[in-house]
Amino acid sequence: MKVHWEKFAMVLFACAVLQGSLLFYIEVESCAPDLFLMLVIFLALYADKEQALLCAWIAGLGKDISTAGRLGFYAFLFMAAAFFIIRIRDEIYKEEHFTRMFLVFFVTMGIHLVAVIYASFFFNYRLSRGFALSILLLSVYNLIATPVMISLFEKIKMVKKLKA
Amino acid sequence: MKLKFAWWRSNQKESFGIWKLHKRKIVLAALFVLSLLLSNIPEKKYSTIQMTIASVLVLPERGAFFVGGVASNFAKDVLSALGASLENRKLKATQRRLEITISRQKNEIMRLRGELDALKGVRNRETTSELPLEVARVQLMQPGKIISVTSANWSRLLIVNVGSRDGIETNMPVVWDDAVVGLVYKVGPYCSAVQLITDPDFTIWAIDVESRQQGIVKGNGSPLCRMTYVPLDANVKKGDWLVSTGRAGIFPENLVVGQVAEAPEKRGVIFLDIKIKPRVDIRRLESVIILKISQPLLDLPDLR
Repeated sequence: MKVHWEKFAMVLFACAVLQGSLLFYIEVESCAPDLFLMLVIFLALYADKEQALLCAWIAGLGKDISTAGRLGFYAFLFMAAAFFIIRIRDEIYKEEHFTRMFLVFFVTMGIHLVAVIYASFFFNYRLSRGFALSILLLSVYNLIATPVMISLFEKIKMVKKLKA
Repeated sequence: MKLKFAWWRSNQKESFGIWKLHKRKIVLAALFVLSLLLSNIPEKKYSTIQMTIASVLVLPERGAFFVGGVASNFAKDVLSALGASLENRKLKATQRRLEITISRQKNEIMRLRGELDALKGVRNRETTSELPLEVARVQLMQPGKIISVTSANWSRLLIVNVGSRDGIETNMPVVWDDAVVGLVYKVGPYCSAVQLITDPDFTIWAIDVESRQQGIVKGNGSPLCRMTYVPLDANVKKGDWLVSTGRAGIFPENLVVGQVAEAPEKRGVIFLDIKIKPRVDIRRLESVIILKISQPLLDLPDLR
């Protein structure tokens, strides 16, 4: 299941454009679906393992640049998430929509919790109920958007010989 | 030479074996190191990289913003129209309820005003219509709201919302302004039945104001009453007013009973049968006033 690199590049570009523009209109309490993360999860589920890790790292880098965050931070986090998914993907029924939705939910929660804890240590942020609610809202929003986005990525056929 | 090549080949195979076995770990480690290196890039250089990439994304983002704005405005217009339509329906329903409440309140105000005028009329009556009403003996004037009108066969009864708890007793006269309505027939604790002037069992002594001819006005079960015991030679004409005489001791004097509706017919041998139109239009009555007479004029038994 090799990755079509040119398609991956185009999808990454589209995610960068949409994340910074169109998704603004469907924000709820400043939370919008994370297209980069959903792309990472899709590739982690279906692509070749090493290529999935690389794609996750690149997508994370894209998110770092588009969010003006610390370079390499989300790259590392997305890569770690992809590694975790790769480890469990043979044990789960990945074609089922609910499985994908819950996977996205928990991975989003985990990544953003780590991000918030990191920020509280290094940037002196106070962990508050507001942060927790934002993370929960973001995770739920991602969960809702998962079936649509994953189906879209499947249609684009970024991965050769998708296993049924 | 061959040996060197063989050694090199075996080294390559070994490296390739290590790569195959630990591919993922090697990639992970490499990317991790790269992340660390990137996070240590100086801020200026990072800003330059970021601005360069952002400038590439500007045009497509602008296009996406434009499309998003159009779609968002359209959705807002549709939703606001829908919202306005729903709010419109709610407001119309509220308006209808308020209109009903207002008309009920207006109705109640008119009724109370009428009661007030009637009470004033009974209590403070001047001789404007040459019909002085003796109010000195009226001890109680209890307004009662009509809650139903029964008309089974010939009887005509009103049910009013005052009863024994309000001091109402049987045979109390019931009036409206200066006119006879009927007589209290039955009394309950909270409501009473009033026998109307048009009830066949109702009777009242009346006198023609013009000719001074007396007679008994009886209900007929119809909108018109009858005046009986009027001699054939009585000078009663159409349009003459009839008032109560107070003879039976139930109704005070000078309460208007009604008006002669038609020229008297000479029926029978001895007495005229005169049709009387009651002063009170029962169909338009909303309230009545029940009088308690302190001293009965005559101590007569119940006529019914």
